Amino acid sequence: MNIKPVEIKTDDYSIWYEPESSTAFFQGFLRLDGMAEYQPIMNLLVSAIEESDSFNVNLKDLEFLNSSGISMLSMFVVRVRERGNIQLVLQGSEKVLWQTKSLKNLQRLMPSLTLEFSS
Amino acid sequence: MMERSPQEPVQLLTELAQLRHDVKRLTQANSDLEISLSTTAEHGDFVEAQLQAANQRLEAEIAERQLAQLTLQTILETVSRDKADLEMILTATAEHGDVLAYQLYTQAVETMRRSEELFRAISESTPILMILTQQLDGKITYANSISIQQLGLDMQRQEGYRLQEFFLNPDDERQIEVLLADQGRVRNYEMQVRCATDDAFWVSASIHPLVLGDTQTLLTTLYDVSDRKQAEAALQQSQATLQQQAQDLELRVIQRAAQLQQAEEKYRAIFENAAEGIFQITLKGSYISANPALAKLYDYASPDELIAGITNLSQQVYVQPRRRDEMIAYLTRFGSVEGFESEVYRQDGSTIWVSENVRAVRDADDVLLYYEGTARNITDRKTAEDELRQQRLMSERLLLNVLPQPIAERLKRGETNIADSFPAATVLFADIVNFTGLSSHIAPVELVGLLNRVFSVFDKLADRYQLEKIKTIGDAYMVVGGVPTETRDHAEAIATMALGMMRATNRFKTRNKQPIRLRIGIHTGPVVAGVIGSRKFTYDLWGDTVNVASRMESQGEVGRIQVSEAVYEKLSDRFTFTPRPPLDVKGKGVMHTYWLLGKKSE
Repeated sequence: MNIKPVEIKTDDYSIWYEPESSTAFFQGFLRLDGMAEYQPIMNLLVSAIEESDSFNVNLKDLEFLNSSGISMLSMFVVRVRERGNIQLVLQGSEKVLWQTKSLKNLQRLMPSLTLEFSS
Repeated sequence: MMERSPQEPVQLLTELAQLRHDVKRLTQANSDLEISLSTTAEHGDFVEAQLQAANQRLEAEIAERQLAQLTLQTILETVSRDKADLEMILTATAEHGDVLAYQLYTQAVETMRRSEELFRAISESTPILMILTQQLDGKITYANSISIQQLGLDMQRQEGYRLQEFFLNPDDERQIEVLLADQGRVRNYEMQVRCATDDAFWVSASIHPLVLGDTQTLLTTLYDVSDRKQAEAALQQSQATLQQQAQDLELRVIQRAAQLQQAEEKYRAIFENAAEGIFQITLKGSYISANPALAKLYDYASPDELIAGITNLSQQVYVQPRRRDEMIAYLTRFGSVEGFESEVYRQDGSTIWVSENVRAVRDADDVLLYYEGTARNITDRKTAEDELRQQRLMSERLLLNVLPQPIAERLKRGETNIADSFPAATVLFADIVNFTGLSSHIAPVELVGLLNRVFSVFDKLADRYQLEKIKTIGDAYMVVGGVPTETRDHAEAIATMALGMMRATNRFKTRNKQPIRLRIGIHTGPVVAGVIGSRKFTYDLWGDTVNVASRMESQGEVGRIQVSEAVYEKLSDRFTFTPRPPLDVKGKGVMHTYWLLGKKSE
């Protein structure tokens, strides 16, 4: 059974994928407990990149992401790099402190990764 | 090689034996070697063959190993990269964690600082006493400024304070404990608290338990309700006072009502028995109330009949059509009228005069409600006044008949012996020629009547030409121009009058058809005019001019107007004359005189 959720939504956060713009949106406060709990989100992202050769992750409205979350995001970046032929763009906000600090580290995993910051 | 010495023979033997032994050993060795060699060769061949095989196998093995090493190399690279990835992920994750920790810490500190600031701002600015105590022993751990001030706390005091120390009534402490135990908190518990000056004040206390750190703490807020308590007390006091006042008022109302009733009866009696008519009337002009005197005034049997009978004052009462409108106009302008005198109809159609005092009655908002007032019959007074006025007019007229108006005025002012000189006046004398003859034919009464008619016509002519009639003497008539008011055309006016008199007399005949004939003389010159004496005085003229005028008449001819030369000279350009032969005038000598014929036509 290969389930591909297009949207994950709770009181704290919501994540959804828009196929038209090949963009995954993250909003709210994301603080799941451990990698295992991040697996469904990873699945959503991984299944999304199968459909396209360019992929955007919009994190502008994601105010909080815990360490397991950044690990999941790192592993996803590695997965994209391994695929080799996908143009990945991470969209962040200068107003969110963790994004200004941590997203740069993801670029080290995949130098061809594009970072876009908006104020 | 070895050196040779003297002991050598022994040695040599030994050496020889050694050598022999050596050779033998060597031979053996040689044979061994030969055997060995062959063995070895054989073996070598074998080994060689074996080595060959082994070498071949090794070569194959090396190729295999090289392949394996290549594979391993690839694996190593992958592992290394994964390791680098993982290191980076670890770094990223660790740094991310640091950022989050920093952010959370900063936020926590900021939040704490803000909430503390907020709490301080609230607690220091509020007029409510805010106090934190340890639940265990009631020790005060925090008190805001107003609490410190109100309760007189010394926060540096070693032993501190228990909040309960300030409760005025010890029962409150137990009550509050019970409430806290039952409900977990206290709301709006009213009690008295002792303040710094040892006075007590009323507060509404609320107590809320909370945990600060690890300490069970109570937040107590005390809201000063002294004012409200005082107001409540004052309210109760004023309610009592009000109740007392209400009772007093009730009593006074009863007394006042009795007084009013007496007053009402008194005024009712005055109203009913007043000699003057008293009334209230609507704005439209009908009666609201009236007293018996008013009913009587208007000839009604009772006030009720009057009120029923008169519904339109303007039409039914006032004789003069717009009289009531005038009164309303007055009232609108001045609010009241006094002594407003009008002629009015009574019920029987007769008229009387009334004097009314009326005022407009308005409510608190200045809205006109009705009129009220009194009326008095002034017919008698009015009649008397009228008669008096008539009499005065009559006597005035009489005086004016006798005297010219300016002279009469001067006499009324108290002047006596008036004698004014006039430098230029014209005097006319007229005589009915055959009067003496007529008197024998006509009855004296009829004669006087005829004379009166003729002279009345002369009087009208004198009035028309603004001349002053002086007197009649028997059948003679004397008139003057330029006296008592000087005029410029006195001679012309007199001449015109003379011609008019001639024409007028031609119309008169006696009953016996006898004509009346006139003889006129005129002279002009200075005269003195005045009133002499104190009884039966008349206005009269003196002077030579008067005498000459008289002579002009007496020495004239019937039906003609004789004038002196002075008159002729004044009027010759406007009137026609014929000269008369020189005439010997009595007391004057010879004079040139003329007959006045008529006015020159344009």
